[in-house]
Amino acid sequence: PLTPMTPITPVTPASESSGIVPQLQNIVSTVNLACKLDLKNIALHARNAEYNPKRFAAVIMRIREPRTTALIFSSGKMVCTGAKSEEQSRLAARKYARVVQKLGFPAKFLDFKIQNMVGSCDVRFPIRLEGLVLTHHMWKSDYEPELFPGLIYRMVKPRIVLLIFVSGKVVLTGAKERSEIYEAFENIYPILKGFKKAS
Amino acid sequence: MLHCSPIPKLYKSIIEDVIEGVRELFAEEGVEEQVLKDLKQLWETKVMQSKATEGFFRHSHRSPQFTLQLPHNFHRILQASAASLVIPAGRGFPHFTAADLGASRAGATLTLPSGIAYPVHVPAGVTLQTASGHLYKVNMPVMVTQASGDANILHHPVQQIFQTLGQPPVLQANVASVTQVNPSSAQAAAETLQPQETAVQQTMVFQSNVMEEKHLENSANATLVQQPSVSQQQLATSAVLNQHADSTEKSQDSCLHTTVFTPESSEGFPPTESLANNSTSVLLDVEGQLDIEPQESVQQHMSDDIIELIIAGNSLDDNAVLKDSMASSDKVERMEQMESNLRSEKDICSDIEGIIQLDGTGDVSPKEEIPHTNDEEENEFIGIIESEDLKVLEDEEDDDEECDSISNTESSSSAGGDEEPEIDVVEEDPLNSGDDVSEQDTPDLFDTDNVIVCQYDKIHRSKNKWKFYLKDGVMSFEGKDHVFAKAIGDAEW
Repeated sequence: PLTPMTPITPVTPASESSGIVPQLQNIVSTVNLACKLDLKNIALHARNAEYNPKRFAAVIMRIREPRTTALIFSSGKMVCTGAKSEEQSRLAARKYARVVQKLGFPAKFLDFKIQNMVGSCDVRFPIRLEGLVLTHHMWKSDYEPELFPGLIYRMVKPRIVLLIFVSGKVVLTGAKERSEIYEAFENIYPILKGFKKAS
Repeated sequence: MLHCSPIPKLYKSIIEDVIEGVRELFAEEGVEEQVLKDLKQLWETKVMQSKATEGFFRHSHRSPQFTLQLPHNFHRILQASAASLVIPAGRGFPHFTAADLGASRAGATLTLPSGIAYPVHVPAGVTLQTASGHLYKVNMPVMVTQASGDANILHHPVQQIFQTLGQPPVLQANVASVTQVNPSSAQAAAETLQPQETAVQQTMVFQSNVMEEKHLENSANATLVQQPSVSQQQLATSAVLNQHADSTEKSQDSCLHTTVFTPESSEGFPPTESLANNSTSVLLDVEGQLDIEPQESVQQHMSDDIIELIIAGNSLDDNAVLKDSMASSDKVERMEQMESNLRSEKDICSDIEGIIQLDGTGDVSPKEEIPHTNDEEENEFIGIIESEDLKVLEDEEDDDEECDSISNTESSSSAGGDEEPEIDVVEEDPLNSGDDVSEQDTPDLFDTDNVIVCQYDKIHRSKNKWKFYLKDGVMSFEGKDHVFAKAIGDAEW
């Protein structure tokens, strides 16, 4: 559980603020340890490490604080997933790098970059997805209820993908920065209000 | 009754298989057989020392009872081989000089460990030692066949002579002495003792065409039959029982308990004495001994069923002097001064508490599968590996990347062209400042704890819930080994 952070971008007075802040659920980041790694060695000596080379060519390592999972490749590149904030993601990545370093590899911490951020929130009213897709279909939204119960809304600016559900729950993904999440939600909120289901 | 652990048998069979497998290779390489034997010794010793198994030399508590049949043709006396043979439990009886045994009325019931292959030929002059530690000197060649597992012994008319040496502190339920009479005397002595508890079946019943038969029974259901008169010779008091005083103390399976009956020793009965003379004294002794409680713990140990065959020299008188050994089997003297495997193991057993284990569970075995560690422990990583295995990128190759490193130095781009190592240090985020980062990772190495080495059918994870479907493995749990063919586990991380 994370304490919600206040949005970075200020709310314009003209539009009504939704008053709802999306919560970050997942951050994916990458970093370069800048040295070749012997994955078998790592898997044998590190705690909480999985390695099935026939299935996947990376060591899967996990730590509890922050609760994250890392994919460590023999090239020295690493992917860190599962953190709830940017800072936590960076901290976790450093911990993994530290683990690798302690195992004897000359690991560095280069090019840490957040690749994806996922947030979610609840507008607290049901949504008429069929109506939404009628007005926003084409390249903006996909809605195939038989395939997936959520409407896929691809916002252009910021470039964020939103999953909108009948229940009113919204998932936002594809952001490189937290502000993109907030901005995307503020953009979609008035639209969703327009398709509120009258119960 | 304790549940018999399959592990000692499994390990023994593994050891046997491996030794047999390499025997030819060793021979081809010109390595002596003795080396192979030593190897086997060392291996078994190590397994015992590690205390990873229980009852390494203990077999089923319930030993089948088999009948020793003395050849009624007492004329034949088999030549005892000069070598001493020791047969620890679990091993097949070594080849003996085959006794030419015919059907005879004489039969002795001796409970041997289940691991013994029957039938067994016991040539004359052999001293049998049961797991309980009773030593029986067999002066008469006998044939041991497997009878029904009836713990209760039949009472056969037997003649028996056995003399006890001293009063062993602990008498094991089954005290049996086998007396072999010179065939020419046409009298065989057999004694049947029944263990107080059926679990321990070590009774020897000798059937013989004895003139007089006597059965003695004490509370322990032991029967002593003594031959009233014995002709000249070699009466062998075959019953030499060694009993370890500490048999009751130890629950270590490998400990042997022996009660020592020394025919010709402290009792002062020369073996050649008439049976009649001996019988009385023996009777008394035995009774005295039988009164001593064999207790359950003893029973269990007795069920170790280790039988040692010591083939004495031709002189029956000289042998079968086994002293009552108390705490250690060291005092037990072999006739041939040959150290039996069993003996060494007994020693080890006796001394096992004093042994500092230098290896075994301390080893960090390569984890073929997920190591079985405590779920709740905080662990980040372990160990430090040799840097020899590392391949490190050249620093020069990193220059360009460092220019783009996240450390915010704009001058990096210009400095990057220099390709000097010093600049690299400035630009990148030094991980050593991350020393504080890894603090939680401080790994407490718990590798020495419970480890499982096995194969897996499926390993599954959902979030932090793990499910394991394992097969064919060995678990080392709190120092003890457990084997399994299938294991299913659930864990939370």
